[in-house]
Amino acid sequence: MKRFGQKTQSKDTNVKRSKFADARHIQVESPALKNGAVDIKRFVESRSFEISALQDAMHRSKHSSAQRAFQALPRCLRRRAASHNIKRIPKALRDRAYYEMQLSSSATTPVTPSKQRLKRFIKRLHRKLARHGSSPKITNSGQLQTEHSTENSRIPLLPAVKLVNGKFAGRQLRKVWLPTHLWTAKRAHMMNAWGYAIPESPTEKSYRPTHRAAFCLNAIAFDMSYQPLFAITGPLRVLQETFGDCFTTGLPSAYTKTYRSFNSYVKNSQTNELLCPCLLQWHNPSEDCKTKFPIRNNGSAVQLVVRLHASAFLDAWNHLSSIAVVDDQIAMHDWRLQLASFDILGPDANVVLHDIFPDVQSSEKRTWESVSKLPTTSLPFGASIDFDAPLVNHESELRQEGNGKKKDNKESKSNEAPDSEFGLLWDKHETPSFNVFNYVQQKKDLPLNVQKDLVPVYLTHQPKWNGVTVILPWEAAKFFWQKLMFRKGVRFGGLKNLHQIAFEKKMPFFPADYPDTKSGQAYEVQRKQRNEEYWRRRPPAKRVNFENFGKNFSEIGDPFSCDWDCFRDDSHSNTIERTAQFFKRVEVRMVQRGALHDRARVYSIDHGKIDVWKKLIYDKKITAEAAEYPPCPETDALCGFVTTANFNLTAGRPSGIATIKSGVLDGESQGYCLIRNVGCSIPRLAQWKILL
Amino acid sequence: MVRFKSRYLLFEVLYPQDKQFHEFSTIPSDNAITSSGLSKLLRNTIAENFGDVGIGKVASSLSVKYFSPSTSTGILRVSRQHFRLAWAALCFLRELNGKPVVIRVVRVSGTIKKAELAAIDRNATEVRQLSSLNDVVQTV
Repeated sequence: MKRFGQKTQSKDTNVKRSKFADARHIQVESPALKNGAVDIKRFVESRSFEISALQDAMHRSKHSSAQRAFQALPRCLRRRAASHNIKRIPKALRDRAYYEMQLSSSATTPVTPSKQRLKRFIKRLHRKLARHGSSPKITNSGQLQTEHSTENSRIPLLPAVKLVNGKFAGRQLRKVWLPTHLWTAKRAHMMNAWGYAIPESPTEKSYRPTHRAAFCLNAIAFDMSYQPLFAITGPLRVLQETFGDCFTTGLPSAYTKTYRSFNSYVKNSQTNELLCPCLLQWHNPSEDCKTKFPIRNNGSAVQLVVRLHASAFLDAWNHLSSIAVVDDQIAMHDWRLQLASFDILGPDANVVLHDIFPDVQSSEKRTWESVSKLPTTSLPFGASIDFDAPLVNHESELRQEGNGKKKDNKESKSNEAPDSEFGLLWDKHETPSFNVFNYVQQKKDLPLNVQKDLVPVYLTHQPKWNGVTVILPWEAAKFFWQKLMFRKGVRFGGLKNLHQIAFEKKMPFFPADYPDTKSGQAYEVQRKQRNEEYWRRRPPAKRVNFENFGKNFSEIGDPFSCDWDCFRDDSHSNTIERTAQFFKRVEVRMVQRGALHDRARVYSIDHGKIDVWKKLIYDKKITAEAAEYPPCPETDALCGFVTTANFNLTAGRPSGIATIKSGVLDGESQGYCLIRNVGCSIPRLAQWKILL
Repeated sequence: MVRFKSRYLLFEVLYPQDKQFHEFSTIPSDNAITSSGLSKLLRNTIAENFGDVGIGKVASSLSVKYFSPSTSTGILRVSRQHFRLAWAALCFLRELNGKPVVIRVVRVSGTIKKAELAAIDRNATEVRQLSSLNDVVQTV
C-alpha cells in the first residue's frame, strides 16, 4: 500500500504545483499576432489584450485558493462549528457542499437521550415543586399573589408559571420560557426578567444591523410573549364608564366600532399614577363564548383585550380587578400563557408576513391580499385583521398548491380591479371580532393540532413602531417563528435592540425612560446593580475614580444610576410621586461638541448666562481646554438626568431622552441646558425639547 | 512570526531613439525579449553595479512576474527591504537587444493585484484617448 500512497502523493503535488502556476501566471500576447509597422489598431489591440489578461489573472488567483461552502456565507448565516448537515446551507451552495462532503467523507449520527435520564428529571421536578411553595410572591398552590379574585372565576387566580412536561421542566419552575426559547437561547444572550426568560440581545454584533433592519431595509422580529395579554369582559357602556379613567387616553368610542387597535397608558385612576403603556383592542366574542361568561347580562358583553408590560402587570391587574370585583357584570380573563405575541418592525414587515401567509382562510381574504405589496408605513393606521392560516406545510401539498396558484394568480389579476377591496374591512362600523380570542376561550373544548388544522392569527399595525404585531396561540408560536426566521431578510432582536429602536425614534422606552413609574424606579435599581458590578470588576488602575476626577471633581449622587434621591424634598418623600408631579420627559441633543451617555447629569442655565454660553460656542468656538471655558455649575443647578443616550444613527448625531424639572421648562417647548456625563468634569451646552 | 513582505514594481521599457507613437511613449519591443531573459539581464546588471553584496541581497526574491513585449510593460517582484536596489538596477539597464533603452518604474505596490490594476488603468486611459482621437484623426 505504501507504493500506492507515494504515487498518489507525487501526482497530488504535481497537480497542486501546476494549479498554483496556472493561477498565478499572466498570459502574454503571442508574437504570431504582430506584423511590422506600428499602427493604432495594433496598439489598441495589444493594450486591450493586456487588460483582459491581467483581469483574468486576478480572477484566477482569487479563486484558486480553496474556499469551502460554509466560508462563502454572510455572518448572520454562518454556523460557529462547521456542521455537516447539508440542509442547513442555502440552496445555492448545497451542491458545492454536497461535493465537498463526498470528498471529506465524515459522518455524524444524532444522539438520542436515554429514557432513564428523562425519568430522573421528572423525579427532581416533583421534589422541587414540594420545596418551592415557600416563595412570598407565589402562593402555596403556585399562584401569584393577587388581591381580588372571585370563586366563580369571574376574576380568576393567576398562575405564576405554566407547568410543562418534558426534558426542560425543571428549568421552567421559577420562570416562564417564551415559546421560541429553544431557538432563541442558542442565538442570543438571555436574561431573567419579570419572571420570564427574555433575550437581551443576539450574540452576534447587531447595533448597526438593527438600525438598518428597522429603518432602511428588511425587518426585525421580536418575541413579545412576555408582555401579558388579558381581557376585560362586560357590556360596552359599563366598560367604558368604569374603566375610562384607568387609561390616559380614556376609551374613545370611535375605536369600539372599527377594526383598529390603539395604544394608551394604564394608570391608577385614584392616585393618577402612571403604570405602563398598553395596546388595546375591542373584541366582540362569539355566541358560544358569550354564554360561558360567569356574569350577569352576558348576552351583550364585549371584551377589551389589553397587552401591557410584564413589570407592571401585577399592579395593573390588581387595580383593574379591584374595580371589576365590585360590579358583577364585569369579568376578567388571563391569557398570558395561552397567547403568544410577536412584533415585527421595519419597512418590509408587511411583505414578509404576506410571504408567510399567502393562502388564508377568512372572510377578509381579499382585504388581506389587497395590502400584500405595501411597505409597513402605508398600512392603514392601527389596522387589525385576523384569519385562519396553515402553519405547517406538507411538501406534496405545496407542490400541488404551487401549480394551482400560478393559474389562479393569472386569472385573479385580470379579473380583480386594483384597490377595489382595499380598506373595506377598516371602513366597517361594527365592533370587531377576532378568531384568536374566541379560540382561546374555547380551547378546552376544541384542542388545536397545529400540524393539521388552520391556526387563527391576529395582526395589527403599530404606527409608532412602524411594525406589525402578530398574536397567535402559544402552541403555534414556535412554528410561526421558525417560518419567520427562515426568511432571508428577517433578523431577530432582544430587549436591548428594542430599546435602541425606541431611542432612535426618539420615543421613551418603558421602563427605562419612565422614572415616574414604579417599574421605572425598579429599573433604576437594576441599572445601578449592573453598572456597579461592571465597575467593580475592573482593576482600580483602569476604572474611573468617582471621588476625584477631572479638575478635582467629585460625582454628584450615585454614579451608577440616575439618582432621583438627589431631589429629595421633605414635603414629597415618595420618589415616584415627586418625579411624576415635578418632572417632565424631554428629548435632548448636544449643540456642538460632545457625546451623550446614559445617566448624564442635566443642569439648568440662568437666562443671562445662556447668551454667554451661546457666544462662546457659536462665535468663538472654543474647546473645553481653553481657559475661558466656564466651570461646571453648582449642585443646586442640577435639574434632571438623561435616562437613555447614545449616538443616534437615524439622526446622525448624539441624542438622548431625559427627565428634567418642570420648573426649568418655564412653559416653553424648547431651550438650553448644560449636560455633563458621569465621570466627566466638563459640562457642555445642549438643547432640550418637549416630547410630544 | 515576521511575515515576508515584498514589493511589486510596475515598469515600462522606453526607447528614446525610436519614433514616438502619438503622445504615448511605450512602443512594442522586440519579440525576443521574454520575462526570463529580462530577469537574467537584470541579475547581470546587479552583479556588475552592486557586486556580490547586491546579488546576495536580492537574488532570492527577485523575479520578473510578467513582461509583455507588445506593450513593453512588466511587473517585477522584489523583497520589501531591497526594492530600491532593484529599482536602481533597472535604471542602470541601458541596453536591450542592441537598442538603447530607459526603464521607467511607474508604480510600486505591496500586492500584485494593485500593480495589475494600475496597469489596467493606464491601458484603459490610453485606449480611451486613442479611440476619441480616432474620431478626429484618421490613421497614421
